[in-house]
Amino acid sequence: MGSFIDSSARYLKTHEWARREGEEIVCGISDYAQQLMNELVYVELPRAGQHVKAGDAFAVVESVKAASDVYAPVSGVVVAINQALERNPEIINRSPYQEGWMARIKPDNPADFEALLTPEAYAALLEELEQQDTKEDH
Amino acid sequence: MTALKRTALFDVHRRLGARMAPFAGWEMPLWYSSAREEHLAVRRAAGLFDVSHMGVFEVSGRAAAATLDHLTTNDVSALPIGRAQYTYMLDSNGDVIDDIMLYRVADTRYLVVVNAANADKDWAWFTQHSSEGCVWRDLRGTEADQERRADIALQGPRSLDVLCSLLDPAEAETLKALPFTGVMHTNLLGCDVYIARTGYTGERVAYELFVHPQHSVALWEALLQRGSEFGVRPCGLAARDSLRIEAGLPLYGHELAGPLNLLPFHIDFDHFVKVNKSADFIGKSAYLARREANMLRSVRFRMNERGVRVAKLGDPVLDRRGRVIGTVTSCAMDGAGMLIGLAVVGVDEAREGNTLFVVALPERVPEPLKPFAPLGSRIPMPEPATVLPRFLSRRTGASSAK
Repeated sequence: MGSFIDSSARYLKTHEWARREGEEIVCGISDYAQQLMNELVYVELPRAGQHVKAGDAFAVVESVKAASDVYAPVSGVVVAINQALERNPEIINRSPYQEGWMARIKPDNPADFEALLTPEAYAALLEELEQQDTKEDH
Repeated sequence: MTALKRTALFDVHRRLGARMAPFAGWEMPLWYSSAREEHLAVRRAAGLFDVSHMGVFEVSGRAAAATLDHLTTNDVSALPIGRAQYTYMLDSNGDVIDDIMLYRVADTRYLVVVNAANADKDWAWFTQHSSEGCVWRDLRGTEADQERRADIALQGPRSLDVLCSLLDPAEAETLKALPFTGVMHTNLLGCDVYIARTGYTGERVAYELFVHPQHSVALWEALLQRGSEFGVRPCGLAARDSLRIEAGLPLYGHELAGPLNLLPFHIDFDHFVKVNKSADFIGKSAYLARREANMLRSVRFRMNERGVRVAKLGDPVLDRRGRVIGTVTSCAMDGAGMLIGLAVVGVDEAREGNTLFVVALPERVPEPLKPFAPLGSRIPMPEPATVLPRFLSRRTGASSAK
């Protein structure tokens, strides 16, 4: 199906992206994830000021046919959320890596970011998923 | 788990990049790129649907009409050759076994098109309740051999132009003159085909093609290739669902039968149950008694705001005092990106323009709200919705996309 990978971001196996901007981590869901969900209709964001742990389900995205948890890429304090998504979740479909960012997190330990998947590793993961998908056909 | 069945078009869907999903025992395309764009393509141009998972039967013989009249609710004796009718099969309790289409393709021969999920059950019911002078054939199966039929739907305002550009001029004229629910037998690109002006999208210019599955791929590709000039797009089940919801049409298991055990009178489809036809039909007296006692009515609604959760079958509908007055049966996104749905509510709440409050329950039902609830905890919000006219206006198919 072909999806875009932002080469300046790091990734989770569960299709979240994270980008370092100054001392903060901006995060959202990948282009692959938004394609898989199709048009999003509902987004539940964390609360600014909330402390999240890496791997916590800290947000929810829903389309007509699916609902999915969104996992925090790093532990830290949520310093900002993209409130525009609450009324217009389809922004994520249109621009998953830019306008569709979901939260900014001030990480407890900035080094946590380095443990996330590189764009190359994430690309390899997607390729693997695609191959599994076609293998099921035979 | 039994393996999912695949239509003859499976590889074509994969090549087109479709997201596949299980539906009624079949692995079917959910969408190709965007369900919303596919929805809009049908309203503005046309959409091509693989509906060859649908059950197609044939019944023929001198007793065919009388048998169908006994087993279905609409008036089969009034169905002319070359026309189709929408109808119901009821059991003796008056419960809906299935909602089906009958196509009278010859004097004593009918095609019977049924829901995929009910096809085996329907086949058993028909053959068990059949009578002498009546021959049933399952056109899904290999025993039907050369007579097998698969259903491909081309729906939307440009569908006639696409088909006419592929037909012989004389046949194109016949198609242009085909009335709504008409059916003709013709040859399209070397394929023997029944073309019926029927469908499940609410479009008046809309066709279903019944072909042998060995021709499905060639026909699909030709329709898509020629159709591209007209804005035709392949459409998946998600668009099929949102289109029928927007049109106000029922889905078996949601607005018919299902957990609410709904009947045609609940959904303003009572006129397909001809209680005054000369033939008696199975379930008639039970149906009449239940109609008499009915207090519920279906409505079409649109959520007032964007960014709200999608309601599902079973989600409660409240009035502005928080009293439960009904139940959601279906919900999807329309072409304008707004959520639309169908619900059953008390008959007094069904008037157009009425405000309903829909509680779309999340999959994990959250803790109830308590005093001193922690910041950031959530409860499901009743979101306002407005009752729309029961059916989408057919003259202005794109009216919802203001």
